[in-house]
Amino acid sequence: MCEGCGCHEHESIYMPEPLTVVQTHPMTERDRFFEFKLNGKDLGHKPGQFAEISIPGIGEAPISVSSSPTKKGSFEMVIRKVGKVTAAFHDLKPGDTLGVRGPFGTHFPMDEFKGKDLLFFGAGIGLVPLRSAINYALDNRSDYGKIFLLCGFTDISQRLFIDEMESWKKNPSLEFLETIDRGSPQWKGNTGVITTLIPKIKDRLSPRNTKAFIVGPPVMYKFVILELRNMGFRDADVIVSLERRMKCGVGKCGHCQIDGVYVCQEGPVFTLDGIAHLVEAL
Amino acid sequence: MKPKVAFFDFACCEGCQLQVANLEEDILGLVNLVDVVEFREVLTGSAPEYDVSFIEGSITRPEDEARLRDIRSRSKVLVSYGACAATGGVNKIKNLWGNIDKVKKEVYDKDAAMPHLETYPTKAVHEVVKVDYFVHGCPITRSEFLKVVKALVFGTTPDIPQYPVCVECKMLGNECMYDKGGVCLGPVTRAGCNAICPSNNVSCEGCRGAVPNPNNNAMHEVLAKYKLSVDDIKRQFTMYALDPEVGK
Amino acid sequence: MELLQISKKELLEFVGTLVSGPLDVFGVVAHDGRFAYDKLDSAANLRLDFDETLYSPKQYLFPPKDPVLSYTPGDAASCAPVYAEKDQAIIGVHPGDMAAIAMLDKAFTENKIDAHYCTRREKTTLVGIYPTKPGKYRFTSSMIKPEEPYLAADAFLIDMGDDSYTIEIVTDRGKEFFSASAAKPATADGKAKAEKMKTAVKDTVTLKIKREDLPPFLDGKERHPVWETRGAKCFSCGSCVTVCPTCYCFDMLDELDLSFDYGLRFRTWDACVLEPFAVCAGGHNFRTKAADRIRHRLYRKQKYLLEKLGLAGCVGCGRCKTACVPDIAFPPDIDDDLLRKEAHHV
Repeated sequence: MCEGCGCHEHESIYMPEPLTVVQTHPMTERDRFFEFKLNGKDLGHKPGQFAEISIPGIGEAPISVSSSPTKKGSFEMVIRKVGKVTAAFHDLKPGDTLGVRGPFGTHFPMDEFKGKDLLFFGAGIGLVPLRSAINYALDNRSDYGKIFLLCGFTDISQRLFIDEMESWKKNPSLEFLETIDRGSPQWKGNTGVITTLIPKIKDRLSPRNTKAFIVGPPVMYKFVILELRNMGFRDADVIVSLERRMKCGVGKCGHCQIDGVYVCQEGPVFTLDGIAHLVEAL
Repeated sequence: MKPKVAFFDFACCEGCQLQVANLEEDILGLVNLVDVVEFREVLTGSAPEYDVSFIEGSITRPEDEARLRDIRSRSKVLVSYGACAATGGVNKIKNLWGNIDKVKKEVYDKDAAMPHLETYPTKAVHEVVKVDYFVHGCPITRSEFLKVVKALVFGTTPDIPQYPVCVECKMLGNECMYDKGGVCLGPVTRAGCNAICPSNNVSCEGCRGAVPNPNNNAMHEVLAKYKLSVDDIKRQFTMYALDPEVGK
Repeated sequence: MELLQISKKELLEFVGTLVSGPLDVFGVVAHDGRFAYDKLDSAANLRLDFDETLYSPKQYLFPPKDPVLSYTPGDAASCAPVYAEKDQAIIGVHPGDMAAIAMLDKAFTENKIDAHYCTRREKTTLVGIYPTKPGKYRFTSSMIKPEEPYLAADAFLIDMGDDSYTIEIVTDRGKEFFSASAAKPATADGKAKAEKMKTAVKDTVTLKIKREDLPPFLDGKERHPVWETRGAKCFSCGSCVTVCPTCYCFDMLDELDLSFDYGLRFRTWDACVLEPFAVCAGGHNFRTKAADRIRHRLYRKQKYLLEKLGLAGCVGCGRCKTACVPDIAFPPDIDDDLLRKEAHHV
């Protein structure tokens, strides 16, 4: 196979580029915000893509890009401390370097959605990748119709992007609603799971002219999808981003497969009709 | 500053600390990384506090518990190393007897009542104090011990295999013990030993404890298929406290 | 295709000169009454009359623990790729294993090219051998097409049943490789006989379903009771995967030298049947049950890889049947269960 094809002359697909921490601050007890910059260039991602971030000697982890590509000069991520690699990221300080490969995976096809209403469901850490699409839409506001943004968190301590959510709430060009699953005395807003927000906007939705985005914990998808289908949404208009263990990011290692689909190549962003036949998807 | 590391032993054969003392050329690398402040078999001296304490041996007497709690209170990180510490190991065989007086009589006969021979059912270290990390095995595998030390010094957490010995055994290209007509507990035993026993034509006896969700039913079935009696199966599973349900 | 002939004695002499040269030469040797690939230190140990080897030759192209990057710990700018440096030859690869290498070639070069695999592959000469004995559980002809081994092989040996081999020269590399041997052009009689000898040894097992019918056959059987029945006996020990000539899933692992001056990032074999394989950040396991994992493995063997790469993810070597202690892993047995239970349902 390899005779003279020169395929061995390609650059290593496992080789990271250096990345520098611009700033970082905690968002919750386990989630930390990071602004990163590459040496003199942009990451070149599209909304919804991810990258492999690494510290040589500790390891590598797939992390969603949270900023919109409309933001230039740097990009943002929110990293949840869930294992040894992410724990090491939490120790990074401004000026520290780490490695990056990517961007990888499919993206939210925002250009194809021009003229459509947008309905975002972001639950928990799902808001992190979704934010790249939300801010992309807001930065290109005239391209889209109505924008609805529904966010949910398990409790008050898990809320992410608190200042940004405040600005979305005040922004007249979108309708923003937030809920937390378990209320507390300090919380004056909505309580209940994310689907309980749907009745509050239902009369203003046009299911046949709206693209719905769902990103959240595994358990959430089927409940939101059920509601959307009941309202008359077609599966082709429902976009999900699915989490799997994307170890290599380049369609080789096999960890991220849903049935025979490599999520790092054909996902993480899928339309619902594209995955309906997969038994392991939802 | 190098982390202060101490080694302690309870009920055990001290074979695991011997593995550490016998690291040969790596011992120099090790002492370049850490400051060994307490290690009875190797040096004299002690320290009020430790960054990392390595605990060897099982807890078998009330005074052991007090000593272990004191060490824990003075240690930032505590590692339970070796089968006796990590699972209770062979020391747990006595727990199968049910009555501790029967055990003492069997072992010490007429001296059983002497006060310094007081003992109670064996506990693994994590059954008494919080354990941060484990190094399994009877004895420990030196390379795995070094892996844990390196991870702790570098400020990260060591990866301890969550899969069975068969993975390492097959990666080495060994012929399966079952293929050779033997029996082996590799399929339910946690890897990390680099399959040292089957690589030397000795069946795995489960010294590293069980994988997180061992398929013990299937293991019993397989052992029965290979003509092991119920008693033999029980012996296989209880030598290193591999399956606490067997023998109850 | 150019055909040569060589006597067995001349072939051994040729291998002898290779072994004493700079090349790493791997071949099959006797191993405790079985056969295994090993590095040859003498041509006399080479066995070309083996039934089946314990392990496949994939380990020489995709080593169990293979460094891909070196670095100074903590310094991302210090990362540098690590590539294989030694030239090697593997002598004595059955057509099934050769087709498996063709599948690996495809897997590591489709879409994103893996230069680590390709570098080693480029330095490898592959010499096949048609089996001279049936494998205990071999069903290769049900799983591969006769031309597929030639996608990977540089040359193929055919035991002529007398004291000679016919050599099929497949690539320029193969031609170059044998140019230093005593091989001569094959006679017309020899050519006709060689073609017959290629199929002289028959498979022991025949799959009841044609390869191209396997993907539709498996569609809709994801929730069939066979997965639970077999899953209940599964140790999740990875043996079926480690011995498989096509399985190539891997993990990445960082290791530091005790000096902390340098470290390596390794690609290490992994297996979809191991319990932690599909665990995500945060601990969610997308394949919690052994039943789900063995279904995924079988689908990968008989459907997913065939659809993705156009080459079979199972080449019918039968090694998994031998390696699986509770004997639940053999694809023809599973297919039989699926067929039988299906009939039963109707």
